[in-house]
Amino acid sequence: MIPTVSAGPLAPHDFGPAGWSPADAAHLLRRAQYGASALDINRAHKAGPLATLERLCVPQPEEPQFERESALLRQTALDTGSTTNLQAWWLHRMLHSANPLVEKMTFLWHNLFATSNDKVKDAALMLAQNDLFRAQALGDYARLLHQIARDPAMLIWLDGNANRRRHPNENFAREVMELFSLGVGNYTEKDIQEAARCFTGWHMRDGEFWFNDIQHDTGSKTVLGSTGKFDGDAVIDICLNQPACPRFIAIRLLKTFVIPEPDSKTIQAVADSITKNKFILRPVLRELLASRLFFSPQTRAAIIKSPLDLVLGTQRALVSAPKLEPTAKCLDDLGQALFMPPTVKGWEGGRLWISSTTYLLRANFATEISTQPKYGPLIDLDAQSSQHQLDTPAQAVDHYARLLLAAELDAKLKTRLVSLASSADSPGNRDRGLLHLLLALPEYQLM
Amino acid sequence: MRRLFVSLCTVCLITMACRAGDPAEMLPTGAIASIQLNNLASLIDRVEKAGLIEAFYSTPQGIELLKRPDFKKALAVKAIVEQQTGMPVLELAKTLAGGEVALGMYGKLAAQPEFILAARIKNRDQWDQFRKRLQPFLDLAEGQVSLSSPAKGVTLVSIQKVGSIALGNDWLVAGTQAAAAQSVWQRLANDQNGIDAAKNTFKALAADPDYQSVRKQSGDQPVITAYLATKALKGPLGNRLIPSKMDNPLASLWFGGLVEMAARSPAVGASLTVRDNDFDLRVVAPGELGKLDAGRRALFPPDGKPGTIPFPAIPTLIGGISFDRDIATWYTNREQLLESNALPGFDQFETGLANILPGKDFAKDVLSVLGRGITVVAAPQDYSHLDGTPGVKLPGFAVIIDLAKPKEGANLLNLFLQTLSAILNIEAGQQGRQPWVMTSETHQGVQVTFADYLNKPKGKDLPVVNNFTPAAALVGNKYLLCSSKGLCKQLIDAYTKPGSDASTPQPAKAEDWAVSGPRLADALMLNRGLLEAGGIKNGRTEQQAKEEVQVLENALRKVEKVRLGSLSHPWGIEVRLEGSWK
Repeated sequence: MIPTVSAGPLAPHDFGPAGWSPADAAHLLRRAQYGASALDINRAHKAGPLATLERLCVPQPEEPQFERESALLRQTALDTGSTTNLQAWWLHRMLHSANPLVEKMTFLWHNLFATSNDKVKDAALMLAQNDLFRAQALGDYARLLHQIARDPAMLIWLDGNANRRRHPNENFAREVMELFSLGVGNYTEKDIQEAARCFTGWHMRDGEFWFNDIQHDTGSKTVLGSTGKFDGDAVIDICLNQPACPRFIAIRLLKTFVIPEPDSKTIQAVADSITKNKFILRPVLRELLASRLFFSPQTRAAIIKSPLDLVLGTQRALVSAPKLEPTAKCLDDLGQALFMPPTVKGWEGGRLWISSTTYLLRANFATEISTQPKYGPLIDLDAQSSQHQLDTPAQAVDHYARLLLAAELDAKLKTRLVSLASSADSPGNRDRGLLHLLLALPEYQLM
Repeated sequence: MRRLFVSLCTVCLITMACRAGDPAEMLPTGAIASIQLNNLASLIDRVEKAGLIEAFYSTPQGIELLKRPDFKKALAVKAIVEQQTGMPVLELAKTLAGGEVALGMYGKLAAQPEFILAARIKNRDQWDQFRKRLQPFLDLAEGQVSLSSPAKGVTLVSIQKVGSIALGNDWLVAGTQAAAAQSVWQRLANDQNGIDAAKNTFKALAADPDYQSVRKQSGDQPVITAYLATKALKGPLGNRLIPSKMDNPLASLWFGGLVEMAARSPAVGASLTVRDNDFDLRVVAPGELGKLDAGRRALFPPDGKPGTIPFPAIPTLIGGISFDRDIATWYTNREQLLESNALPGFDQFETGLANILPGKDFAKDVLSVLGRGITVVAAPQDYSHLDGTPGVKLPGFAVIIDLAKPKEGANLLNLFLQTLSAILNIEAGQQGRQPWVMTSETHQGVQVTFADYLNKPKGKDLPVVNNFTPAAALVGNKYLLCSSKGLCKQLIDAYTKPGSDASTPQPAKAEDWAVSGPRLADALMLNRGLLEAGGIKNGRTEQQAKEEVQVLENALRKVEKVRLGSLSHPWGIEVRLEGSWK
């Protein structure tokens, strides 16, 4: 738990006399997208905080080449129906889109409304659900919650067709309250039973939502203290009107972008912003990512990198042309296969990302990406050395530590790294070895 | 240093060639293995004139290769060689080529083997120039090498602890063992100087009976021939060259017989012949098929009996595979052919099969009705069963099974088809797909049983499974199991056409693989987007991915046909790879 930031955690951050530094730019980019290259950091530093936030939060036009590549990968996923191709399509977007924050928020919704192709077994439906998440990535959470209740993939995932008038299936109703909007402790079992009645007849047919009126329970229900002849939309509105709902979303945003264990006051501040903005998330995120809280020292290097942050972040920083299928396989090994969340709860993350097995795999990843072209060729280290004037081992250590690490490099560690880098026989080998060491550091697991 | 020497010999081998004749005449008898080159110059010339090297460098792979540090080093070495010799590397290879080159390996594998390289150079002017340019290097290496002139016009370079190189007026001999090399260069020196005495005592590899037994089965005027004295390897490696049992059933069934024949043969040979528009690569192993055990003998056509059935005459055939095997005999002898850890898999297979063919024993009830021939062919797909197309467009496939007992066999395979269809229908229902309905119609008087959809699946990205609507028919003793009714009808036409030679067997072919490059290109390019996406997934840009696919397509369209087959002869076995291009 971090100390409460005084005088309103969402107050805009004052960068002081030192101003907006490359470290600040790197911090913002590592949180708002999957990693940052030296070019990204330099560009953000030159542009300043406001312009950078504007670029991240306001839709940017995509490059025509990106659009064509993405369309090709999407069509391949549709043609083959393969989860690997779905993953490749999304990884390509995460790595190359001009709207990286949109992709990060799309993943946030994928993790919140966790739906697995393992059960859905339909690439087109999974893509349609992903499009829905992307359309509302920085948009209207309330609208998204209504839309997801009618989403065909979700209806398959949570057995919508089994929800019948005489035998209500509670799966969706339970998850709407527990996992999608309120969280445990903010509803009763009776509320779930009653809400399930409201969603009866919300079925899927021929790949589309189908209101099966014969199977809908039209009787009166009492949900979270309100009584009426409610349907599913009414239940969702009731949930959205609960004070727990904006707090629930606030926790998700804070854990993803700011701190792993936010305090109650901070949560309430973000929840108030969500309420004020009527669940439209773009202004909420803009406020959060520009806040004193976001740039406070306590939030730096505070989040354990998810496999996506680790793998894509490393590729974005160091790989010139990432290979998508090995990347998807690596993410799967590390426990984060896109479109295949392990349970309805999605990926819980945090400390659970690091186990004796996954830490070893993370170390292997560090070795492989710095020594083999398995995940794509490394950036031209000689060119980097020349461009950034990395003439001495100390300069190389400083440069790559700033690029890769969220925290300041410990002085003793730096001395050791400089010593090791000094023994290399050429600048290329020096930097390659240095990257391997930096990527294998425990500090590199944080962002 | 020794390794460097051997590498140098290999480089020389590749960059030199000779006049017509058998280069093994230059090597002494008793080689464990040898490689001979003949007139490589013409091949190099054609590669150069076809612009293949430049074309490769312009591909994304070529561009990537040019960026690799190792390749940059290789280019630097090439530049040094060109600088020192005064001509481009290919020109050097071409001008020096034109005669004979042979590399032999002698001694025992367990100990360090010895090597002898012998070459006759056709272009003496270039050879003289090369020798002159070599002289400064030899002078520089003074202390490590010693020079002498043991015969008129012969320079002998002895390299400490490595071997010797003898340079004649139009020949070169290098060897890691001085005495053995001496016998070769003395013979060539005597030839050069008109002395005939030593020639009579020199026994050439070309006169070895084992060598001759494989050499006479080589193609006409091969560019490259290779020889391996397998009997010489048996000592160091034990009594058998390979284990007596395999641990992979599929490998045993596919090439277990070939491998066993090669292992039993005293020698194995290979030859590559390249002509204007085609090539053939042959690997031969002399031996007697009759000496094989029953399980492996079953993998070759019986003496005087037919081999594989020719591919059906479908005009648009993409390619196919045809086997001739007595599977029943192989299956019943599996315990003698396979390691014990591979055997439980058969029990699992039979248990699984019982779900599709309930109450049937695989060996007794299934294999007994099958004949020897199984052919798989691929042809363009017909999507008339759909209101749209699948996302992944596969060609049509057909399995043509020869039946020893046609009626019983057809009944059994129909049962298999219908049970499989029922199982797949359950899965289709679970996944919300259209189920199949089994129905039938008559074509050319032959009843065709086929699966069909009550409502045609609609859309442009239909699942892969929509490529398949199984169809089956019995024509004579052939059971046709096809992925679509259209292909089944084409096969019926091919097999019922008057004057069809479809049932005429080829002489003693145990297997036959064939593919048409342009038709394969047509089939692959139906999924061009998928191929291009594969490139993007591999880190290419869209443009690079498109170029790669274009290179693949162009290459396939140039390859008219590629064919691989294994044949049994009275003298032994042969594996032949043939190809032709436009």
